[in-house]
Amino acid sequence: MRNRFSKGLSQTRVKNRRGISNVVTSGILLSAISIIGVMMLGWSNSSILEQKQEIETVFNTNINKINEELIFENVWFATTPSPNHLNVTLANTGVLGLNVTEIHVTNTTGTNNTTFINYLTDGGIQKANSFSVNATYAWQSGDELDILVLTDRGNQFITQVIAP
Amino acid sequence: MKSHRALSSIVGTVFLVAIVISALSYVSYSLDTMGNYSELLISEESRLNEKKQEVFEVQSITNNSASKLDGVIKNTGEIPVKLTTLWIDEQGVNDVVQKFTLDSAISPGNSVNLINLVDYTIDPAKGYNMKVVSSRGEVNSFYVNSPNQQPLDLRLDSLPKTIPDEFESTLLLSVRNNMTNDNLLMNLKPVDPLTIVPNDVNTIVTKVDGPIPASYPSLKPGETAVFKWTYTVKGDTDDYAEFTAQLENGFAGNTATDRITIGEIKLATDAVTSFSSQGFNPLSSSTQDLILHQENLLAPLSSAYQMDQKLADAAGTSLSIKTTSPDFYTNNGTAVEISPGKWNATLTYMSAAFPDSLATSMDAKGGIILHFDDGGAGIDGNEDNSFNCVSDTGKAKFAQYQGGMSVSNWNQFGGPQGSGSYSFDGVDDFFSVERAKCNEVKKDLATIAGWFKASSSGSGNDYIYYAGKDNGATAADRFSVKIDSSNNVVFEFETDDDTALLCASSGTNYRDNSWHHFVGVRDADYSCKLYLDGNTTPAATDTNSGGVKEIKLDKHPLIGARLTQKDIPSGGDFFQGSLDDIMYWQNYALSATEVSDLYNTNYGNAAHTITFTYSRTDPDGVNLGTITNDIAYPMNFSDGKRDGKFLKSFNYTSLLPLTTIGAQERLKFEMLYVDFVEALQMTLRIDDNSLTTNPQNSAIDLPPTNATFQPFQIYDNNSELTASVVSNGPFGSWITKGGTRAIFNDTASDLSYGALIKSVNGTILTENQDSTFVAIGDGVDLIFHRPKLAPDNCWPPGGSCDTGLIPPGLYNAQILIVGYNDEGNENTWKISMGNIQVN
Repeated sequence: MRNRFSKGLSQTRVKNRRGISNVVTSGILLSAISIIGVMMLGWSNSSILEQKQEIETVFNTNINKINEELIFENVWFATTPSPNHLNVTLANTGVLGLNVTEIHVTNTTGTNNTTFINYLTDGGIQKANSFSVNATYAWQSGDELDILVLTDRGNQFITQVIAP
Repeated sequence: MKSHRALSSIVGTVFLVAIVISALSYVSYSLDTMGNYSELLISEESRLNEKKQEVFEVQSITNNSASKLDGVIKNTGEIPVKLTTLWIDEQGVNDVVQKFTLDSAISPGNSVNLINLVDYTIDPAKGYNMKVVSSRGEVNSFYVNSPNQQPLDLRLDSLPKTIPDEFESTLLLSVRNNMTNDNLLMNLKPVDPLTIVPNDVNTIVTKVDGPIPASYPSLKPGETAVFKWTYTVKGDTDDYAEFTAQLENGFAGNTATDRITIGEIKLATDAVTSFSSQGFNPLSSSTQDLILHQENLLAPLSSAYQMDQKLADAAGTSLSIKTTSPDFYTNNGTAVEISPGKWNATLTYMSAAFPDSLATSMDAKGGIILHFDDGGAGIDGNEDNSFNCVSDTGKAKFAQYQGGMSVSNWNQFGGPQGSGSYSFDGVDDFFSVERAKCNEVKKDLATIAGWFKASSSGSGNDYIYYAGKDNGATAADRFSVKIDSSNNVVFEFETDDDTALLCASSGTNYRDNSWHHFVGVRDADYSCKLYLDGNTTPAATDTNSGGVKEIKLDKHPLIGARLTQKDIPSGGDFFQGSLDDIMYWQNYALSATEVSDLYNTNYGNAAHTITFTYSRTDPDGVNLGTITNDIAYPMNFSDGKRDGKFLKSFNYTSLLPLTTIGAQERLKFEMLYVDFVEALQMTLRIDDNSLTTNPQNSAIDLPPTNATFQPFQIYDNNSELTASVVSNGPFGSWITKGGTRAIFNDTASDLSYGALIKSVNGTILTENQDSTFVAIGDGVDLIFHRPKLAPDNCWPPGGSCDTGLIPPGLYNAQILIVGYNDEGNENTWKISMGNIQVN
């Protein structure tokens, strides 16, 4: 009987131990999966968010660049105050504000290809507004000049004029 | 374990749901982003389209009594326009530039007056550059009273050049806006011509009136303004006054000069009164039109030509309108009443291939001109405007339909100046041009030119012209013009060693559904130059030294497609749009000036400008009054073959009220050539009896008249004399032999000659035979024996029959018709037949 009882007891213990290990194992597994799942979810969300931000940045940058539009409203030549210079009026005909950073004046008369670069720090033009600037260049009558305007977004606009 | 499994399923499901939601939100975000992008693109495209559709026009610029700037700006487009800025730059003053804010919106079709927007005092003696800017960035530049940017095409013509002492002459100053920058000229004013009398200080020049008009409010590119002055010159024969005209604020040295000379006018002998005569010519040879004849006999001036209702009676002659500016006169002698209606001058002429400045440019080794002015079957026939062009098989054929090309691609008025053009679908439409001596390029200079209108739907490479070689490689020898995938115009030529010269435009989208002109030049230094829209500065150049090598072509050049091999065009490189006036010069490179002249040449509805005048004159050609006058009337380009055939007629039409030309008056039709740099010379064909219909002889088709103009008459004294008359009533009548005569008075002596009547409408008259009854309105032919000092019926000519015969000379003729009428009264009719030349 004792042996039978002992046997029965030991069998019960074994059964109970097996149940505990299953629970522990399951618990560990579930915890691990949960942790991994949460981590993956968190990673994927942050990754998607990053991608979203990147797409938005690229999208906005390119669209804004495409939408940027500038015309040379007028270019006239002045002699006073000395030295000779050009008055360049630019109009923003696009749908966004823009920032003019550089104006290059290149003399293309004959073999003369000198370029003078005017750097601007106050070249912001709001939508539907215009902006005038004196571009320094010692022009002479009959000079053929290319005027190249660079904006902050990397667009370039060019026109040609002949000095009177 | 079951419950654990369930739990893991729930956890797994939660994660799955979370992942799916994340994925869906990402997809949704992506779609949303793409949607935004599309919306932005559509919005941008819409904005660019609106910018393209925006059109406004400065219709006039004036200054009011207070010298304030005024003018009208009209929205001629279909969308509203907002004007933002007006710039005013005074000519010749560098530092005075005014900017005015307009801020004025204009609905489609509406206008604004500048005086309501701007307060600016304008000096009428000065010139201004002005510029109007819109909110969409459209800039409209124009010059006000300041044609001083470039020399304009000025021409001064005195009309007539030779006048009797103290008579009037008209000075016509024509001004053509040939500025290369496409600007409007506003408020164009001439200065009264400067007058000098170099050969006699006593010569007196008096201005009667002018300039008329005092100014032109605006002059568009290519348009011509004409100002008129009237002057009298008093002095001795051969004295003259020289006039030099210019424009107010004009370009320095831009003037035009002509002179008026005092001289004797050569007069014809006076005619006498006549009635209801049809002249000495059978009625069967007459027409309702006034035919322009090549003869000048009996015309009031030796340089003038006859115009009457006889059919063309000669082999014809060709008149250069530029050098002759011909005048045509009817004969006097019959009063003619012309009903109100259209006077239609149908003129058969040929236009020069080029303006004078390019006249000989194709003479070197020939070339090709394809105006596309004829569709259908004419494409092989009439489009052979080649110069010295012979292929291996004889006369080369050009512009033959290939692929999907057919007559349905032809648009009669679709060209850049209302001329014919062909459309190309970009799928399979193209022309082949037979390879010949005149288009083989080789080591020669070469020029290719034409007009294109590239469709905005096109893409990739669209070839306009491609001449190439089949060597199985894509880099074979070639000479071509195309629109490339970046919407640039590209002119290039390449040799088989892969040496290519390439000239490509940049910065402008040429696939814009608008006409553009291109000229590609292989220059004397074997560089390539590409000119666009008449600009004298090349849009692109390439000076690669390899250009000197020989370009060897062995296949037929194509228009509208690219050759690959064996004359087969490439599937993807067909041109989509329209082409016109394709020209190729062999061994000739157009200069920059010639490029500009070619661009400004009108091969459409205004190739020539002619000043047409109808007037009444006395028998000596002295003006009695102008019936109508159209100054600088535009006439179409009329393509003629190189072999000199006249192919077309074009009309000058006037709508005129009832007009009466008196019996002692002539009708004068005058064509004055208005010259300008890009004008094409006009060669008029007249009096050509081989021309019957399409084209017909040059003539004036008048509304119904109550009588026929007195014809110019010639009589051969070896033949019987036929006179045609019409019975006007009021009674029917018979004509008898007794007393019916033709009388010829010698205009150079006191001698006169008479002729006996022989027959009336075929009935021989005798003592016992009168004519058949002549009813009211009947026309009858009277045949007379030959006129003699002692009239008789001697026949045939020769021997004693010629005794006292009327000699050759100019005579004034009358007919005396004796008979009786159906009222039982004797009647005698005297009909003046006008002047007649006896040969």
